[in-house]
Amino acid sequence: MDWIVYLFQLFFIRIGDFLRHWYVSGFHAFTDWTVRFLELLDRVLALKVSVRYWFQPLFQERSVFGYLIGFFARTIRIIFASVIYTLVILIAFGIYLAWILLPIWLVYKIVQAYGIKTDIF
Amino acid sequence: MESRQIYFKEPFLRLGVIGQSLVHVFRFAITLVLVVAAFIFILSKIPQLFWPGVLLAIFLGDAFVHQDAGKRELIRLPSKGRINAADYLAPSSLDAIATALRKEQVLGGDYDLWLAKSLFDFPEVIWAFERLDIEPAEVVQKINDYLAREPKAKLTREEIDKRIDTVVLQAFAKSLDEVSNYVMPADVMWALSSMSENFSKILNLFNITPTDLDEALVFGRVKQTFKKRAGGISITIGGLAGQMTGVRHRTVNRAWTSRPTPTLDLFGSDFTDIARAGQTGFLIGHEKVYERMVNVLSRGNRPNALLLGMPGVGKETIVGHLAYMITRDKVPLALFDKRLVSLDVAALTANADQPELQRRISQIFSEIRAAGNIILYIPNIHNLSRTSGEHYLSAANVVLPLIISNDFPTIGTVGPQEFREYIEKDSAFMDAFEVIRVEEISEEEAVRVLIYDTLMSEKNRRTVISLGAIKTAVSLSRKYFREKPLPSSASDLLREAWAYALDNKAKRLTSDMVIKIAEEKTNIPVRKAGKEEAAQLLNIENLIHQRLVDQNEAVAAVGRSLREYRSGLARKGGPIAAFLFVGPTGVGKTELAKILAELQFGSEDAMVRIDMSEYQDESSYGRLIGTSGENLGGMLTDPVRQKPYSLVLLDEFEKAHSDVLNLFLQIFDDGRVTDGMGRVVDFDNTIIIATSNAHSTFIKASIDEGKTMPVIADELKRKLVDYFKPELLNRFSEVVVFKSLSEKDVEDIAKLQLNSLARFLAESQGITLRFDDSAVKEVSRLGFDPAFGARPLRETISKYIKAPLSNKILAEEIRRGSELAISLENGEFKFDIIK
Repeated sequence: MDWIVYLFQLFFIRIGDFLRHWYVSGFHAFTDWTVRFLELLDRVLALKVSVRYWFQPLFQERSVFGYLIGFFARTIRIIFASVIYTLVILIAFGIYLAWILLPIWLVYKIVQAYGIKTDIF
Repeated sequence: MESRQIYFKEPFLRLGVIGQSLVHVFRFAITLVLVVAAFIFILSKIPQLFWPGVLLAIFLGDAFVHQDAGKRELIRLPSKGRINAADYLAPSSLDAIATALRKEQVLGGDYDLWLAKSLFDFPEVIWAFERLDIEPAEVVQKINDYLAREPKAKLTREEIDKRIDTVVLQAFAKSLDEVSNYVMPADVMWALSSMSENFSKILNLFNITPTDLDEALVFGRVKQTFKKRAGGISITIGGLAGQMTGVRHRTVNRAWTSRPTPTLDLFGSDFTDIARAGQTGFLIGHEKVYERMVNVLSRGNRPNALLLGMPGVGKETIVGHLAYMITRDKVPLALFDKRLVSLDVAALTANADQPELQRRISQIFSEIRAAGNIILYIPNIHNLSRTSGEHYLSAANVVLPLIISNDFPTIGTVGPQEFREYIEKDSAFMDAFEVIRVEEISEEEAVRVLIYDTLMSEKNRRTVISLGAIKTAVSLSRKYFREKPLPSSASDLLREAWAYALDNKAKRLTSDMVIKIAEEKTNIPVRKAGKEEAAQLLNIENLIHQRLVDQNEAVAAVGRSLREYRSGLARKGGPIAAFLFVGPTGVGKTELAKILAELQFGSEDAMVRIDMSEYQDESSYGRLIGTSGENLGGMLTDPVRQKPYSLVLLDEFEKAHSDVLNLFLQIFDDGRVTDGMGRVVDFDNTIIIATSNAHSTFIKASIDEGKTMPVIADELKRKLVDYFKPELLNRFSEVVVFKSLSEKDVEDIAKLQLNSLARFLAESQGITLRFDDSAVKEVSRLGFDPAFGARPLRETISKYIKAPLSNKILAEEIRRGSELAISLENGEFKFDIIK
């Protein structure tokens, strides 16, 4: 009868696997994707590089004008990049939040469908 | 690894045979029920069913997505603590282990063999054996034979559990080495091949070593990697795939500090653009050279690297890899966000007179300085220095000061010959650059490069390339095609063999096809190494005597030396053997050299013959090894560089100038010499035979006095110091003394040569030729000269036998199918046409 015990164990193992995949692997997948996407964006928006060269002249134009333009252009770029990165992080976080809440929400809907009163949501 | 404790515990394997089978059945049945239930629930639209249906659907979806995955990924392996290897086992691997266990429990027999058999259910294992030119079904059949023969159920359950633990832990270690995600069936197969006695025996039957299998399994792993990284991998290993199309050209860097370089873009190509398009990137071997180049380019002072190596050695691949790493931001800060641009010197100098050229150069370099983000790559940089054209001279003069200015990093490439000719003597050039030598990659690295290359090229062709074909191409190229270094030489050979396979509509390119193409290219029957060669060496005296009469002592000395070399007992670091053949003219010295060339290297064509009497003056030294000034190749070094597996015959060795003889001191000692162009030429795979007539009268007189050959040889060796320095004589593997020929010897030689003529006539004209003893005796009498030994024999046969025969063939007196008997009558040769 070992096999029946094993099947029962397997039932709980499967639920454990599902939860681990959904939450732990899901977290890894979201963070990996977000970091990769930010890296890709940084090839264009170059936040870190712009901060490093904030006070350098634009396009090697070593005049007062070049320095000024460089500073302002990079400031705008840094602000724009920061906004975009923040948005990306917020969206990714929002999607992940929805992702982690989905099973809980489904359980809530099931409980609600069976008329069990709850004040969770 | 010290802080990790790896163990293996899988409850499923603890179940009995029936238990495991029932679990399978129930799992399948429950999954089916759940799928149907989820489907019905969702379609029902009843909230009490719909929401559980959706939850069930995502649960099943998750199980489906992870069906091929282990519980945990190896890339996230904790650095310490107790780790259960079962969590990292791919389901396919567990399935194979469990299936084998069930079969062993029910049918008995060796568990390892059952496991090996189960592993043949998985494509990556099948691919590996197919790559080894072995039909997987044949291996399975052999396993079945062994299982049928072996005594049943020898091990207890505990012993089998222990066995499974060992195999899994070994496979686990392999997966970690290979940076796999999970422990795959290929890893289990590898573990089994190195641990199982019976399975090793079966692999031995197919001539497969664990190393072979490991390399073949690489195919499967790489294929999986390609699947995972579709689109994320460069389409070529070495160099650039060709002109890229549709890639956006980035003129300004990300930091907005650079400026566009329109003139440079006109005369160059942007490697970073090409890398971004995925058309360059991978680097196998040369890692140290790459690191050194990056270090040189990153430093503030003299950031200029000159890659020095043979054409095809992989210089451009290294540069391409740097471009790839720049696009991935995986370079030191000094190279970060830079563009790597190659300057085409030929385009730069084309259609430009002196002022125009100077204008172009000054424009380009002012752009590079202004841009501030350029790494300049000048392939074949010696073109700047060429004195053959006025423009080139001007180019070097203008460009070098700019490079020396340290304003931008520069990479140049050059071949050894050009380096010696144009760069080495130019102190400005040498000061500007750090010279980095790029050596040929190893055979193992070349095999790996070609495996990747093959998998990428196979996508577009129907013929599959076996690992045997790749390994054969690499080893043959190393031996016979030295014009280019590895992997280019092997890649060329493989490509030709591939074209042959396609023409013949073969589905698989095998090592035999590669050998066939190599034979066609070299005109040499490519010798099979191993047992066949060893058997030939054991019997070499008999093989030589089929074509050479007597000279037993000489033949025995040669056989002894070659066997010593082959058994690994010979001194390392010199030629295979270096012989000094001493004896009168026409006694078989050259003949023995020819026979050796054929036996050892497959053909008389593998003999490099040099008449040393042409090297009597001091200046002749340069002719032997070549001179860079006159751009002349060496009469000795060039043929050996092109055919490293050859026999070098140095006729009349004693007549060479002492400087020339000193050169051979080095060759006999180190097995290598640097030629006039600065290239190292290897003599490791050559047999060197020097012949000499010195003291031949002494040999004849001693024989006449009745002295034995060993005594004569000892005395002769002492006398040879009149001609050669003792240190040179000591460096020969053997000083082989040839004795004068007796009348009987000459008669035997005449018989051999006449038989050879008869064979040739039968094969080419279909004419049968017989000689009686009187004719053979007369040929040997006419063909022997006391001064020249048996040398006039060929001429005699030509004059007295071949000439009348040609007349008869032309007059159609004899034709295909004729039979001819040659005898002696009244001192004249008589030709009787029998039919």
